Amino acid sequence: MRLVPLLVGIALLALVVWFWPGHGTSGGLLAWINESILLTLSVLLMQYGVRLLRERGEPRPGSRLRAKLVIGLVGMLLLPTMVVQFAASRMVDRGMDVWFDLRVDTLLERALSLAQGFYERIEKEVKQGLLVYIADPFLVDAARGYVSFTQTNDYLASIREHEGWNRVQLFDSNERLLASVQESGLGSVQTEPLSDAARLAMRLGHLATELVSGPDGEKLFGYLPLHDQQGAVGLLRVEVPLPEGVIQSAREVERDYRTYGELEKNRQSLQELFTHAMLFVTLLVVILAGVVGLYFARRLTAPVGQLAQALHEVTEGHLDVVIPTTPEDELGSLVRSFNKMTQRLKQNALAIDQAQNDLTEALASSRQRQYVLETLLANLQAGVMLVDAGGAIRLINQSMRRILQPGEGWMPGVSLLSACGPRLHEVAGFFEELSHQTESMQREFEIPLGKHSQVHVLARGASLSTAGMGGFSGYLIVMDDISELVHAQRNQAWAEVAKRLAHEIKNPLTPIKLAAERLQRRFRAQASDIDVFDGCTHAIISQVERLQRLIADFTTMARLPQPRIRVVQVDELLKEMRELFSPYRQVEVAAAPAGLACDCDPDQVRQVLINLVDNGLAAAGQSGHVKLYALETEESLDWHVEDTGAGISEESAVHLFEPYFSTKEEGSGLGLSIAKRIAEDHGGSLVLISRHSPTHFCLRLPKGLNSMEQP
Amino acid sequence: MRVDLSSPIVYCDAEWPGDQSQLVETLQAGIAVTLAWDLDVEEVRRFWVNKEVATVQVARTVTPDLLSHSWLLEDQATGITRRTYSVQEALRFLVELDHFPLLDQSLLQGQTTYRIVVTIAKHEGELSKGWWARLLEPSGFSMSLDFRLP
Repeated sequence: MRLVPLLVGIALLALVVWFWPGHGTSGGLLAWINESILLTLSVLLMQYGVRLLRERGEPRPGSRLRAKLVIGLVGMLLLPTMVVQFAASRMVDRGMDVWFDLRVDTLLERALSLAQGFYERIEKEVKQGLLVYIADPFLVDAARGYVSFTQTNDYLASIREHEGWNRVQLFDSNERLLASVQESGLGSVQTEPLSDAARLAMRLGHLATELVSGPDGEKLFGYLPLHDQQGAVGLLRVEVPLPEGVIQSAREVERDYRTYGELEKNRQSLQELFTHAMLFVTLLVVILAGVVGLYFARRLTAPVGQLAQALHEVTEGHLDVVIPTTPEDELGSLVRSFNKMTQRLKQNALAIDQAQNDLTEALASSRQRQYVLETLLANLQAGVMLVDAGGAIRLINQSMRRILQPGEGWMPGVSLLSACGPRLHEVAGFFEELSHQTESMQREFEIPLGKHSQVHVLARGASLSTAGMGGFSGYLIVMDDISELVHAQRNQAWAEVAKRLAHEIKNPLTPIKLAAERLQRRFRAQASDIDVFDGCTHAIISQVERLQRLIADFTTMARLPQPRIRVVQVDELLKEMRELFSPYRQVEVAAAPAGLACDCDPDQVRQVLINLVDNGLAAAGQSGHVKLYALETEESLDWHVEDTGAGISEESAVHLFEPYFSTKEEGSGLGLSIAKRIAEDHGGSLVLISRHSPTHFCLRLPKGLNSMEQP
Repeated sequence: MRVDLSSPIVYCDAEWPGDQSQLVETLQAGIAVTLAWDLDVEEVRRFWVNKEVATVQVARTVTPDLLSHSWLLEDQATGITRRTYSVQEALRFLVELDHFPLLDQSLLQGQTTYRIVVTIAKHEGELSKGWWARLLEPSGFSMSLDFRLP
């Protein structure tokens, strides 16, 4: 089927070659018009055929149907048209044979011969009549001018009357009219000049006739040259009117003969002309049929093509397709149904998109909320734990793990009560009590972390109802590490106690000591037992002094001033310490790098260092070794004190910095507590790095204190 | 074909190149013959179509008079007719353009090549005056000659 246009195009091209007009071919411009039309149609069809053959993909919707309709319609018209042309051509051939029959030829030739015979007979009669006067002496004399005009006229009138001619005229050798007579009396005043034939006849001396057509019919003129011995002297011109009816018939015969001859001569041309004319009509019909067929095919296939194209676009996902409404027919109904279908599809697709967008937004919002919640929980200093109604852990943040240090077993989904164990029995008890209450509760308790360490926590719990949690019911437990707070409260309490003790005890101690010394001076001599007396008074004085030192420490702790931060050269401070402890050969103070500075209150730092070295000396004894040195780090300046003493027990290390804790018999237990407070007032810390071998303390003071304090 | 430039008028001599015996046969068969001469003078241009300078159309018809055995010679452009009893004279009238004036030389420029294109169409029978006559007109002879002013 794809080859049909190409084959038809080739056939038309063959027709172009077949009908190519040669030299002398009839048809003229019509032939070239036919050739142009055929060539154009051929090229168009072959181009369409080649395009069809090269077409790989799906053709444009409706194009095939349209092409088939057009081909069908043109073919339907082409076949009968060709048959009609063939029949007409045969009829023309037969008609030509009939028209140009031999008998017609003969008939026309005989008719023409009759007409010619009639003319020749008149011509012969005129010539015979003129021959009578060829040697007429009167006419010769008259032509010479020897005869009067009246006589000449009379003679010419007698000739005219005798011969029955219409007009007789006599000219001299100079073509001057000498006399003229005619049937109707006087002739025209203006003389008709001699024709070429008349002059030729006079010059050559031949008798001649001439046929002249005029407004009043055809006339035969006869010319008789008049001669004497010297030559032509004149010319006699006679006019014979041809019988109007006869000559008209003769002319009609001549015209018919001529027409017939033309037709017969152009018989081949006529046939070619007829062929071209018929071909032209056929081509016009074919083109007209093609155009009309194309118009109707387009009208018919346009909705189909639009439907196919629209379906293709719908399958591609374009649901905005709307086909223009067609007339009220089956295709129109189909188009309207299709438009409704696409409209519903579009509405459904929009609804689906909207739902998908809502879901996506909800999911994003949920994820965002979850992310915010997780970030919040991760950054909270308070420990947060969510337990469901069944007692299983649902959520636990990092701070809760840091506070409780529960181990690897605490995972979401694990039962809280079974996961607590003996160490966390307080947590288990708190949750158990919470689970039996409907309102929130709060409790403080201590959780042991190691053998000698513990953390003081403030636990708060709340029961989560179903209504407020989107279907979740359980318990929210929040724990805060308040160890520092408790420690601070404890320090505050000790400071208050020290303040009161200093106030209440310090005042009586001085009179007691003065009284004891007075007793010693005035009543020693009177004492019966001097040793007992001295022992008692010394005991009073020494104990009072001890109490005064104790109260001084308490006062120092209670009234410890805020540090006055300034830049201190570490080397100088160490130099002071070296000079201070120079009597003690056990003490080694390492030199610091030159230019190393520290932002601190030198008096308070000196107090801490003295306390630490003093403790080290006490622990190291005479054979031990105490080392003091300073190290700079990126964030702080560290003062290190090491001693080779017996070391500190683990139990003592836990309470080492608590007020009134001392392992020495005469210690107040406030030295390290004050030192730690000084360190904390500087924004630093005092830590025990190692308990023994060596016992190592580090006073860590942050850098940049001066710049922070100065403003 | 020949051009005469010896006088202020450009004259042209031309002769129909077809078979003259066929013309004689046609005339003797009583069929009128017309030769339509179309003479175009063009300025020859190398890179463009030639420029038309002058166009002259001449149509000469010889009509046989079968009754008197004569030929009526008629110039269609002027309407002048004359009768001859000699077929040779009728033939010469038909096929020859003798010293035919084309145009004045003042219309031409020196050093420019001109071309005379003569197209001759032969009509047999009565000349049709209808608009469709040209559609049926047979193809004729064509000849050309280039010339320059001396």
